[in-house]
Amino acid sequence: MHVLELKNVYKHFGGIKAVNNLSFYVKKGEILSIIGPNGAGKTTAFNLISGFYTPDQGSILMNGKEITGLKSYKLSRLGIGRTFQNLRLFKNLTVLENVMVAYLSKHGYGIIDSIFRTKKFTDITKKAKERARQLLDFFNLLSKEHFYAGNLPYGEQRKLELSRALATEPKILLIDEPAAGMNLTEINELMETLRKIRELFEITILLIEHQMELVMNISERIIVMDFGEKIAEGTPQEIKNNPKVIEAYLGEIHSV
Amino acid sequence: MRFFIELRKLIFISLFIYLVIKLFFISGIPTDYIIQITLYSFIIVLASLGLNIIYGYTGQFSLGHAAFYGIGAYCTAYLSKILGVETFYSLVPVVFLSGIFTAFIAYLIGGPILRLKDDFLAIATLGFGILVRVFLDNSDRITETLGGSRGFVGINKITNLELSFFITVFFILITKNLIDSRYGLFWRAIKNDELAVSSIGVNTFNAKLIAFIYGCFLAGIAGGLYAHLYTFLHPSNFDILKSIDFLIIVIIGGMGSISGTIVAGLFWVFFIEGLRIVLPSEILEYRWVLIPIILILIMMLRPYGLMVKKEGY
Repeated sequence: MHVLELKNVYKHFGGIKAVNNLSFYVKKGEILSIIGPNGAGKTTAFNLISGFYTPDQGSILMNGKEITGLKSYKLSRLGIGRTFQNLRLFKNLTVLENVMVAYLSKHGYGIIDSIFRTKKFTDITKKAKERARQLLDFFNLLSKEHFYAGNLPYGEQRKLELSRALATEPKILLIDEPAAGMNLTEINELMETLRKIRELFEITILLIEHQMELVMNISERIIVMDFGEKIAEGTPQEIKNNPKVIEAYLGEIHSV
Repeated sequence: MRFFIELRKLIFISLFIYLVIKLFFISGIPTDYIIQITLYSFIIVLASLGLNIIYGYTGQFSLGHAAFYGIGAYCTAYLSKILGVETFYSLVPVVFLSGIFTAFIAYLIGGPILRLKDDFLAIATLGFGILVRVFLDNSDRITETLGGSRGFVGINKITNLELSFFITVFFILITKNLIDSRYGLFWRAIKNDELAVSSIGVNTFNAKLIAFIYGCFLAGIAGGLYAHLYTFLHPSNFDILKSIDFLIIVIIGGMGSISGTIVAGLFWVFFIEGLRIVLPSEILEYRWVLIPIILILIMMLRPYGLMVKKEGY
């Protein structure tokens, strides 16, 4: 039984076959990357897994249980966290609040607790702050906890989005192009961070990334998509030498 | 108890303000008219606070807020009439009951329309506002008491300083606690990016619905106090123009600022009504030239509202 499994999933938008008969599985604790040219359907696959889209056909399983068609907030509560390709932070909330809100979505108290400031309210608020600070510390953002998220430089916004996703205590983390706009030093740092969070938070990571250096170094397995379909699957070494992959990226070799 | 202990500072400040106003009223300087608009200004602050939750904090644009204010007013007036409410103490539960009734209507309406976004939501709430107006205009067909387009007459004048001031302060404090809780965080986050909020495990529809119901509840309470202050209700007091009044207060005060709504609500009432006293009668109608100009100036100088320097700061 795999932590996540897609079985013959389809998602078409009008005539566009964004995801076409996609099947793959994710093993517990691994880092699996999805690569492919622009428009290959990678982000659509993420949106299907995280519940922003419902598949036209096929099923998605988490630990063997059917999760197809569940709403995104329910999937988040089941342990599917995600980040976005174009950052979606709460810009008018402080850095600390951005992380706290994620923690508080699962560790709740009621309206009565909020109004009358019960012990439950104080305890959970304290815990949320503590937890958020720990996460910010991990990402070296603690000194900026009172900044508005929109005022952080781009690289730190990416880190903040990761810490927000981790605050929901995910079992599987979907990370969409974390290295976009980063230089080589930052990418190396990111690679370390991703490895560390996998160890520390005991999560499974599903990654979309264009930066091949990062993908080849960090992934245990890679899935290659093109035109909504999976065209290859394997270890980084196998993918590097797969003629289909080379074709998808570079065009047909013979036609030169 | 913790509620009172944590907020003791604010409670002391409001008690002090209450004493000052009370002394001022007793002194005999203010006319009945000034007393009336003072009480009215508190009621307007309360109703605007409701809209600030819905629009200022949660970002759900509503053009139908006055409709809920009207529902609260008519409901209170009707209940008082059939129950024969004549005193302060019997009015309080009736006002709360009307607030709950208004909240229930908000729940029924909010269910379908809060799935809409931005402009579509604006149109839907506008439609609801018109619906309520038409209903009130023809309400005498249901029961003579409601008065239809002739208006609801003969309501006892019960709302006094204590009632309007302390109910408003009480709900300002409750609102403050809600804003500082996880619900406040959810609301502000939803205004920023609803999709991202659902990705972190929040049922955004529920959070929006709670904001809408609570905001309309406050409008209903305010309406109830209004009914027993002015003793006469007319459907035209609760139409789109009134909704726009509330919107103006929320916007000039600052979206997502409780203090902004308080300041702007008081300013709005005293400014419009106060000009009536200050200006000589021959140029009184120039108020409606002066007021828009001042609104434009405020928006140019303080685009994020009186009490908010810059959005999110």
